[in-house]
Amino acid sequence: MEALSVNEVNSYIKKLFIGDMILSNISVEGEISNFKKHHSGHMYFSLKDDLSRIKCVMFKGKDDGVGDLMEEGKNIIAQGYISVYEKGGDYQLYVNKVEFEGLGDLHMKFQRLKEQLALEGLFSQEFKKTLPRYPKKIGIVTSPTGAALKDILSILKRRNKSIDVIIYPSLVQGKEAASNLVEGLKYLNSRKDIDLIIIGRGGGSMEELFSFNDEKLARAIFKSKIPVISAVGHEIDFTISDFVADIRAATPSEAAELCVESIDNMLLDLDLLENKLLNTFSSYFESKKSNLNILSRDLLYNNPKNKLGEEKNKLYRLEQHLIDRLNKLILNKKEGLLSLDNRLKLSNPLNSFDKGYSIITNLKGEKITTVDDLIRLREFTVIMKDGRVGVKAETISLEE
Amino acid sequence: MAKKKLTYEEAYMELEKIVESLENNDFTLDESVKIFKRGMELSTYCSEMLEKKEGEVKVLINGEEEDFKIGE
Repeated sequence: MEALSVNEVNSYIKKLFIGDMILSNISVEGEISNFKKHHSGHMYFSLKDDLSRIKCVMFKGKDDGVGDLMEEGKNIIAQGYISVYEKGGDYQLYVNKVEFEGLGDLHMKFQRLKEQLALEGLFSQEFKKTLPRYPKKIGIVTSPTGAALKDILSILKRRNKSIDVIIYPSLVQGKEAASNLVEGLKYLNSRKDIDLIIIGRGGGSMEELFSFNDEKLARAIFKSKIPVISAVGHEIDFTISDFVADIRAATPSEAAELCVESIDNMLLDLDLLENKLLNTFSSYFESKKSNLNILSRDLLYNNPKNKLGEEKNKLYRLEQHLIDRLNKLILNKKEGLLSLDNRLKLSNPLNSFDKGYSIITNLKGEKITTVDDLIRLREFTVIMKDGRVGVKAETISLEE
Repeated sequence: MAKKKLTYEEAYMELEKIVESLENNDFTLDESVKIFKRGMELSTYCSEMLEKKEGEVKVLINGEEEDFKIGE
C-alpha cells in the first residue's frame, strides 16, 4: 500500500468532515472548560460533559456580545460546524453562535423534572423517614471550604458536643457536582454507623444551585436508607433535592438545628423523667403503705381481746341487771309479806283481847255469844288475854 | 448487663416505658422495686452518655478519615 503524507491524510479527513451533513451544521451542549480568551479576541475552549470533551474555537467576529458572558463552568449550547484543523491534526467545533442555558431553560428543566418525579411518587410523604431523635453520628455531604459547613459544625457543637461528624467533601456547583454528591450519599449509606445525612450548600444563583436539581441525585436521595436533610441555599431557594429529602432545611444552619436536640433540652428531659420515676415510685409506695396502715388499724380494732372486754362488759351489766331484778323481787316479796303480816295482825283474834274483850265458853268449850245462853249456865269459862277463868255463878240475871 | 450496648434513644425509651408502667400500678411490691431499680440504672446511664467525651469531626480524604479543622 502506498504511504500517504500527513498532510494528505489530514486533508482527506477534513473532506470527510465537510461532506458530513450532521457535522457541518451542528448544535452541541456542554460545559465550558479550559477557557482562554486571546488578546485578539478569539476564544479557545473545550466543551465537556460527564464523559468527554471537544475542542472549540469562537472567532471574534462571531462574538456578538457573547464574549463577555463566556466563562469557565457555564453551560452553553454552541452552534456551528465541526471541522479539521489540518495543521494540527485535530478536529474542533467552530462556533458560530452561543446560547447560554438561560434562566428560562433552567426553569423549564426544573419544572419538567419536578413534575416527572412528583408523578413517580418520589416526593410522597409516605416515603419520608422520621429523623432519629438522638443521632450519634452525622454524615455531611458538602463543600469542605464552604461557609455552610462552618455554620453547621458550629451549631452542632454548640448544641451537643458529643455528636460525631463525618464530612464527605464534594463539589457543590458545576457539571461534576451532581455525581460527587451522589457518590457521597452512596458512601455514607454503605457505612453502618451513620444515623443521619445532611446534604447541601450555601446560597447562590439558580445556576450555581442547579446541581441539586439533578435527576440522579434525586433518585440517590430517595434510595438512601439513612434519613436525609436537604439544606440548599437560602429560605427562598427550593431545589429538587429539597422535595425528595426526608426533611428540607431552609438553610444549612437550620439543618443543624433540626437534626440535633440541644443537649440542654436532653438533660432537662432526662431530669424530668428521673423525677417522674422517683415520684411515681414513691407515691406507689406510699399508697401501699397507707393500705397496709388501714388494714392494720382494722385488725387492731377487731382484736379478739377487744371483743373479750366487750363481752365481759356485757356480762357484767347483765349480772348487775340480774342482781338488780333479784333485789327488786325480794323487796317486792318482803313488802308483800309485810303487808300480809299486817293484815294478819289486824285480823288476829287475840287483838280483841287487848281491847278488853273476852270469850265466854261453856264447860264443853263451846262459845257463848248471847246473854240468853249465858243466863242458863251456872258454870262457864272466861277466856281473857292472859288466861282463862272458871266461873261458878250464884246468881245471873239480865240487866236492862 | 445488656444495657451497655443500648443507644441513648433505646435507653431513654425504656425509661419512659418504665415510668408509664409504674403509673399504671400493675406490679407487685417486689416487681415494682425491681423495675424502679432498673429505671434508676437507665437514668444514670443516660446522664453519663450526655456528659461523655467530645464528639469527633472527620473528613474523608482519599478514602481515609482524617481530623477536620474548620478553615481547611
